[in-house]
Amino acid sequence: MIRQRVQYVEVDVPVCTLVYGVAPCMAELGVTGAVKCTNTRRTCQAIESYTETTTTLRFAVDVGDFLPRSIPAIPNIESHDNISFTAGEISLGQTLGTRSSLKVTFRDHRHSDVGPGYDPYSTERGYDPYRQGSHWGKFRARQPYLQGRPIRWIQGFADQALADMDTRHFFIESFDGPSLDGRYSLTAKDILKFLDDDRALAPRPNNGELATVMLAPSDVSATLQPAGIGAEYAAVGYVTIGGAESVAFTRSGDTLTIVRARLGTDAAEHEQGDRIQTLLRYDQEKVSDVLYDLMTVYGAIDPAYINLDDWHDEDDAYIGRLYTGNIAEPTAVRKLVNELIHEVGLAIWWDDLAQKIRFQALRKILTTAGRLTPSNVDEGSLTIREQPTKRLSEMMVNYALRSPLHPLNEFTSYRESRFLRSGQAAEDYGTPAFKEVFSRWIARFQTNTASRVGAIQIGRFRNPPRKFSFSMFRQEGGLVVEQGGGYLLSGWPMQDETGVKVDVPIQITRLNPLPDRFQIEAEEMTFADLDLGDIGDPDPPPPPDSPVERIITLGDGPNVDLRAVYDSIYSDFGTASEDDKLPITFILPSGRTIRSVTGGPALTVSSFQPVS
Amino acid sequence: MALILSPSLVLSAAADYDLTAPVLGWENDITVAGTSADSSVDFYPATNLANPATNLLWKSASTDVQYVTFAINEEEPIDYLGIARHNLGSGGIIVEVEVQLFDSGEWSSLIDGFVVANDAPILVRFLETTANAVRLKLTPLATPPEIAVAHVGHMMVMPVGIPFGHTPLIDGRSTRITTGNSEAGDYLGSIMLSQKLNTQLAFQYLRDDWYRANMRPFVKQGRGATFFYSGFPDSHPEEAGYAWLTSDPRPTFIEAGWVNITFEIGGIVE
Repeated sequence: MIRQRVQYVEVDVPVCTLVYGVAPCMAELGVTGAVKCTNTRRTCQAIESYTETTTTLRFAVDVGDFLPRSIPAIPNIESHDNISFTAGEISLGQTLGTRSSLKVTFRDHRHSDVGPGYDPYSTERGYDPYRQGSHWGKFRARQPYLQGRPIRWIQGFADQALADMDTRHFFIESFDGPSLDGRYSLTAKDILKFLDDDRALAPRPNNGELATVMLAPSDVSATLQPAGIGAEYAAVGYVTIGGAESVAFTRSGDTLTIVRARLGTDAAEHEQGDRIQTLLRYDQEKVSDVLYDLMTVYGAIDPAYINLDDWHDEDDAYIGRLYTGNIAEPTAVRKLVNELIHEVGLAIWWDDLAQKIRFQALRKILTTAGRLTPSNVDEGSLTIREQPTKRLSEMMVNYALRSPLHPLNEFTSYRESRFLRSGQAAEDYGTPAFKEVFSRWIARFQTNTASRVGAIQIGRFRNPPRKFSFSMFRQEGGLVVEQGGGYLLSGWPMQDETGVKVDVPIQITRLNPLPDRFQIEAEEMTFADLDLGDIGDPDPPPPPDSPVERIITLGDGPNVDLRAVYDSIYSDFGTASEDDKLPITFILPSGRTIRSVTGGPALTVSSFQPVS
Repeated sequence: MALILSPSLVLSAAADYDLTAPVLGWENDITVAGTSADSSVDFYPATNLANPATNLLWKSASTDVQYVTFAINEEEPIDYLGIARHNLGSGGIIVEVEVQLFDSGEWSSLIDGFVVANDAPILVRFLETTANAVRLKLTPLATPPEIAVAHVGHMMVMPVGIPFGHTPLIDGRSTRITTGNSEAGDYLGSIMLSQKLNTQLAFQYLRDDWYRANMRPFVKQGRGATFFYSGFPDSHPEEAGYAWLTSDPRPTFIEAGWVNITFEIGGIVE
């Protein structure tokens, strides 16, 4: 029996729960409109009483004879080819990658206007709705507010229940039509589109200005204008005045009580009218928490799409560090997220099947991963491409930003730097391959964290990874591959120096689930077994999948409490037990000074006893 | 009196019919305003029966004896009833057709109760009459009835048969299949992407005056026009179907007094 492919598209459209003219709906025939609404926002005649819910419209690819009658759907998608999908690409350790794009083209047709999401008053209109207008013509007039609405792409076989089919989740970006040729199309993206520069800024822009005529460097109170604008600000936090000074504040109404010259800035004089912008501060937080906050608070992504416990588990197991960042001006969330992906060594992608944003530290592929072999890779589909431009042998990591008002991409803005180098790699390849990172997220003392950036990136790209493209038939009972998944790929072109075929660890960076096969792009996922001393780091950071070491380089400073320094970088001491023992090494490089002020000890160890 | 063309049943064959002539039931007197049912599920009203879409269903919420009534123009002659996309066969539902000749008149049986064995389109042909209304009396066993399309109207009886070389709609499958083969030469299986029914209905040497009087109004409907049809009602009632034109038909006036025409059709047979 040949399996019969079916595909559906579900669209969640907003509709009003009220009945026209029945309280609390304030519409009245002949007064608010000549005809009744269609219970949509666009046709609403009493918008103040509009009460929204969503209803689902289901459409199917017109596969003909075997379309299951038990699954109600309008078969107005002419063929499988009318669902086109450009899979998003995961950019491993680099950026958020590209967005998935789903485009569904529907055929226009007549419709009875009966059913959930259609005209609830169709029998009262005085015309036969089947013979007046068309499905998509009327839909366009009623439902223009579709951006961000959920759309589901469902793939299955005719003998499956709808709930057992693969359902992929996206969000409507735009629509087009109906056109003269009777076509209407919906285009949707994955949820990370919400982080785009044109729709997500962190911190959010403020409208407040300094009302105080002249704010001297010693003044500790400031007033906001216009009146009432204080409600736009938090009760406590940090702001930047006139783009020149960051201050801590507590707020009462429009009045700020301020602590001057914070976060590395100097107290300055400010004038009436200087803008006052909230400064977003993450102080010693897990990168998973920072990303969660950026995405859900500033990117307006529904927290239901993130499993924060999973993120924490990944963070604790493979990252284990705290990050600090001060963002003084409204900045694109995408840019901030990209910085963290690069500096921490992450892969972040939308799992359209599970409806979750995935968070993964770059790490080795397990040797137990699923195997993709010549027996399940489509004939003639495999292509292999070298990516020499991705090679990396040297890295300069600049960190400890002097203040959040310093320009990010200037060497002089940073108090500390680490230069990491794999001399062997440069020798092997004949030339060095250099990259520089400017990190606002790595604070002073976090030498080990800065070194880790280099270890991850050089380890990952010391030998430039190959890119693989191939397809896999959707075989009954066969391996079902996943976006972001790690696998072992074999084929005759992959050999060792003796000609023996070897498995190449890969991570799938792009997956297009066609009706009959998966189209796959993947990147070789190897980490060089570096002699970490070889990369010129006196405090060698751990390889990506080994237990996290604890090596902290101290800077200049007074009255240093080693436990406090440790807690500013790592979050795990309070939960450690006897079984979790790890050596902690503090290094004071030559030339640095730790001194005593106000009579206290220059250096204390404080308590490092694990909890029982 | 009646001929029920269905894959499962030929109820009776009366001498009044030319049983060999192909028939096309495209005229339909059913209207939205004139269609009602004793029972309907929300969002599956009886008015859905008055449009040709096979995905817009009337669904009953009841398993009691019930009626679906079609008020029609009592001045127009009728001689057929068509039903498509239904569950009358799989539901074991007894179907009886009744007619009301005049407004407020008595209902009388037009077709005695019958049961079909499957859910293929049903084409019921009866002697020409006029009526104020026609209704289906449905007696379910345990399954509420549902129907997508109903026609009541006057048939077009073709004066000539379908020539040799015809592919019955039921056999006219167009199937898209994709097959997988691995790099190692393994057969990975096949997946069917679509399967649709289509064929051609060709009629040759129609008299031009007959064409002008009877077929031209149908041809005028153009691409998308829907109809019930049976190409061989006498010998092969199981080949009856509900079909639609997939291209605009163009008659060819081949010589003085004669017309050839071919209909490209798609359709459903179950």
